[in-house]
Amino acid sequence: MCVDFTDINKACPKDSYPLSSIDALMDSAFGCRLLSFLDAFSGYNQIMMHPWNKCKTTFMTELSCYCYKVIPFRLKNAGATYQRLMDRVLAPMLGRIPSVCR
Amino acid sequence: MEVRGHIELRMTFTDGTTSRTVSIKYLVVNAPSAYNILLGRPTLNRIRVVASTRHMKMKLSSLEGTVITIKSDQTEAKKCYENSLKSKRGVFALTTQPPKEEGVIRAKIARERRSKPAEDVLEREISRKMFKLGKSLGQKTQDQITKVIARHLDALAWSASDMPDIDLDLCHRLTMDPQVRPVRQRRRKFNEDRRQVVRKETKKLLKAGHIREI
Repeated sequence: MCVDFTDINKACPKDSYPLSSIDALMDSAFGCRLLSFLDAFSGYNQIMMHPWNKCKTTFMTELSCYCYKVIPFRLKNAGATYQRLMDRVLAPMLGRIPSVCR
Repeated sequence: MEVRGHIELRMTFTDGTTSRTVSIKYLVVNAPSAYNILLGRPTLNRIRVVASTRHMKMKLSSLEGTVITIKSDQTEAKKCYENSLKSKRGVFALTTQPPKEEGVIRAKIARERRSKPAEDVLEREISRKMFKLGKSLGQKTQDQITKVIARHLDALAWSASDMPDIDLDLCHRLTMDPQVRPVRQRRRKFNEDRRQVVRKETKKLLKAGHIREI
C-alpha cells in the first residue's frame, strides 16, 4: 500500500542537503580488512513528522482518514532529512568509522 | 584468429559541434591489425551512414536532423593502410577454438571491478533471535560477534514496537511554497481484494503508531 504524495511533493521545494557519494564511501573503505553493514529498520519511519505538518500527509481509506505521525515513504526530501539526522547522530564518529548510505 | 566473444560499446560520432551516440555490438578477435575497430556494414546501414572513400569523409544525421560530417586524416589513413600491408596476410584463419559465450568479456570486466561477496552464511540463534554470520569468519570471531550482539540486543529491532521514538527536535518539517493552494485528492476506489490489503496495512500502521486517525 502506498499513498499518492504527488501533489504535496510538487508543493515542496527540493532539500539539497548533500547525500553521501558512493564513490567516496568506496574510497574510504579501501584497505579495511573487515566491513560491517547495518540496515536501519524502516529508517524513515523512525523520524517523526513535525506536529504542524502531520495533517498534510492525510490519506483516505474507506473506513476513515488517517495522517502520518512519522515520515512516510515516497515523501520528497525524506532522504535528505534522514541523511541529516544520521550525520548528526554519528557526527562524533563520522569519517573515522561509520558512513551513512541511504 | 581467435574469436573472444561479443562486446557492446556505446560509440559517439562527432564532428565537434554535433554528436550522436549509438550502442554497437562488436565481435572481439585477437589479431594484429592496423585498426582498433572496424565498423561493419550492418552498423553503417543501421545508422544510415553515407561514406565516400574518395573524399575520405563519412556523413550521418544526428537525432536533431543536422548532418554530422566525419573527416579522415590523410596521413593517418596512409599509415593505417601501410601497416595493414605490412602485417603478413594469409595468417588470418579462424581457429577451431569455439567462440566463448556471449557476454563473457563483459562479465570478466564486471568481475574485475567488483569485490567478491563473503562466503556462505550460517544461521545462529542468539537470545532466541536468528542471525546470519559469514562462514569465513572463523569460530573465534564468530563467538566474539555473538557476544557483542547479545550484549547490545536492545539496539536492534525486529518490529516497529522495538523502536523507541526519536527526539521531536529532529523531526521532518515540510517546507512549502506558501503560494501553493491546498489540494484535496479524490478517494480512490478499489476492488475487494485491494480493500482487504488496505485494511490490513492501515491496521498494521496504526498498531505500530506510524499513523493516527483524524
